[in-house]
Amino acid sequence: MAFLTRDLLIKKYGDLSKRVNLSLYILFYLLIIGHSACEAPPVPQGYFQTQSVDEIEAGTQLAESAGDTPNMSRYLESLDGYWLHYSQVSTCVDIGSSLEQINRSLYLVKVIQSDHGGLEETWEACQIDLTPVISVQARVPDALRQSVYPLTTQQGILVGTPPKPSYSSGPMAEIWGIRFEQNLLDPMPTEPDDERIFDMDNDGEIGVTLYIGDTCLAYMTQRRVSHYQGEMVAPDEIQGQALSVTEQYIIDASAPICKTAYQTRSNPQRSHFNRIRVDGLGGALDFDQNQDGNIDCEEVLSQRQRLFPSRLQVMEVDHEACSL
Amino acid sequence: MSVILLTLIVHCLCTCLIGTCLASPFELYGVGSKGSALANTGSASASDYSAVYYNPAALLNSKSSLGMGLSYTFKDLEVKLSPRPMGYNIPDLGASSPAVPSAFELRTRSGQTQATHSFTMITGLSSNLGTQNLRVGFLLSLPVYHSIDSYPSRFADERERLFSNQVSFSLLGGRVEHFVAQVAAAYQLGDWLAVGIGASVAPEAFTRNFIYMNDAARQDEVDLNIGLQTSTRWRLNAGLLVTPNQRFKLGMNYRDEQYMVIRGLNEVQVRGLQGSDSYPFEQSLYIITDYSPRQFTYALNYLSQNQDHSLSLDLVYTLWSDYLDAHGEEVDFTDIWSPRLAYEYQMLNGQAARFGIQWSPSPIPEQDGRSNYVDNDRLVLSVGSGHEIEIQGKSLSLSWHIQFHGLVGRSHQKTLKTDYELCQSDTQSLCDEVDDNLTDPNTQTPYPEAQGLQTGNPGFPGYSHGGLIIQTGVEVTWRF
Repeated sequence: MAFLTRDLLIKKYGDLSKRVNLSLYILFYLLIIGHSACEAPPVPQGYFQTQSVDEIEAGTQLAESAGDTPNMSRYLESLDGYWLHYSQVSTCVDIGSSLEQINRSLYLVKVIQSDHGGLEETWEACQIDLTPVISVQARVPDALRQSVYPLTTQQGILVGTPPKPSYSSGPMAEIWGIRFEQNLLDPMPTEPDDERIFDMDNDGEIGVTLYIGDTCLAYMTQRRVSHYQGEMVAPDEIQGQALSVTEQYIIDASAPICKTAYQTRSNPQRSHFNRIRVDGLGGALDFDQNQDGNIDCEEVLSQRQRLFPSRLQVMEVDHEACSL
Repeated sequence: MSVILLTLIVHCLCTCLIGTCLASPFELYGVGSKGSALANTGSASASDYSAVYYNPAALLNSKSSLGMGLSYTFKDLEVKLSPRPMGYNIPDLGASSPAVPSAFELRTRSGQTQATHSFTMITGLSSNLGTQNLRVGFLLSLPVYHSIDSYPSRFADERERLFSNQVSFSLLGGRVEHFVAQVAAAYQLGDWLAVGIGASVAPEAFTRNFIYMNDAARQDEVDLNIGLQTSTRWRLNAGLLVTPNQRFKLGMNYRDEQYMVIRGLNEVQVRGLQGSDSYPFEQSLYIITDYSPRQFTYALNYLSQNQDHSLSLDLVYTLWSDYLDAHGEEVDFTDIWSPRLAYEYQMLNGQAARFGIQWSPSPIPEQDGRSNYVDNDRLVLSVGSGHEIEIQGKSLSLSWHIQFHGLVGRSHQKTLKTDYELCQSDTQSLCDEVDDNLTDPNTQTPYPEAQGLQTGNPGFPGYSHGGLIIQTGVEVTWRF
């Protein structure tokens, strides 16, 4: 083990040690320089300025403050004219737990009242929103909405005398993607090749197409029968309860998860409607922007801020309300 | 001429036929103290078991060797985030919120500031098996102590906000501290030509899980069974060694991409969905970790007449353009050339001084869009020495090295635009997470908070990064 003696080691490695020591000095020097040179440079401040919503909010507040309050002081002889009908229909969806889903629909209704109080109502759906169930949002495409509406009902009636006459709409059947002989009584299809099913929204897919979430499409048929019953709470406003039953048959879907038909229950205790006159008659709100004597959904939607929240309030989801 | 032609053919074939990779500890630091001190060169000059990695054909440079080494790495990697301007957070819109509001983020947005340490052990063996023309060998790298910055998978964009909410180094740091195993064999075809072939081995896992959910609204209460299968993933490592005379050696090596894959399938049953087509539904899992890109190395080694000066030049071409990130998503990386130059001075009695320099450009382009990948150009300086002692006619050498990786500071700023598209899976540019048309059900008007750009991207509006890595280690090699 002579090779391990101190003298021999010095002799062997002395020359090398000098060279390595020099190298280490150089390396150490480089480390000092390098450490400061290699630090992350100061962060860029970015091109983005503070983004303020003040102006937009101010605009909204202005619009909200301009929300019209009812100033109609007298009852008119009939309901003739244009009304906005805002229904919020609660349904309980049973997926292990019972979860509430609310269908919020904004209808433009043209009413013609006969002498005896009978009502012919033409319903145009300007907007249909469904609240999400477990973060999955179903959306009704415009093409579907436009293919279903307008609908005309003739079973409505207004009875009684001011200050609180009673209103009943009679049954209104909203049929998606099926041709029934009797809208209220015919059974729903159970097979995809049922001859009564047709491409109602003309998108090349059988039935109608509903968007589920961001990427899924459900091809389906649906019958929703609704009945609105209430009373006039002001010369230009009717409030009351919405009774609604929905049946669905999902023919196919772009993904299996969207083909699921959930078990649902109507929840009439939390289903309501408000109807507000918007044709300016008797001092009511006037949504006829172009003053052509007719009101359409475009005019309604562009003036939504005149209704919400000063005249119409949105009911929030409450899953507790679906507890059995 | 034939060698060049062969090289080109092999290069072209491999480029055309094979796919992708992420840095391994060998790629970043080298194999053993000798290779690390010599700037990670070795495709022509490796003279022990380290040739298993550098170039299997170079196993013919020596007879048999057995070695073990331990290295320590200090990493002072820093990512600094630009302050977020006001008004870009994800607003809390109640049930209408299309994304989790910024106020509910579990972790604070952060960069990377903490220095970390790690220890790695390597061991290897090469043997001639008692023959003249055949060599076999294996090589193993085992992380002994991990950095605290080792993350298995991350998103490089706004999705990461809901996970680590951090911008961190993509190709350095803890990500390269992983198990590496390689085997190789070499054969001397003639006086001047040797060929070698080998493989790297990475684990592969498949998990199949069975989940039952009794209540879809109570996702914290599930019954779960887990199935796990593991296997290995073998990838090619091959090379040539040409020795036209005693003073020159030419090496060429190809390393295929290698990574660890975790695949999985969750079968989920939800009560209430029975009887539908979506009962049960399936969730797939595909995670890639420890990714190392394909590489071609072209190397030249010059030995002076007295065999006391040795100069090595390695040119490494890395195909980062095939890189797949942790979720298997392709990214816009560029292929790079990395030159490495090393000098070794052999003194009497087997003592050697070693120096090296390496330039490694970053494959990551300017991050002015949606993604926040982090990597820097690196200048690597290294020094070390070897001390060889003869024992009963055999050689025992002790080597040490120290490497300094200087990361050239770099900054990124997200591009300012007048309009931002909504974030989709294929969106490349900085994107909006809240649709401007989102309507407040109470007012039936668009939310003011939804106007303009809302992003939780942790790299927004910009960031900078730099730092240094120091690696040092010792190695004992027994040549017999």
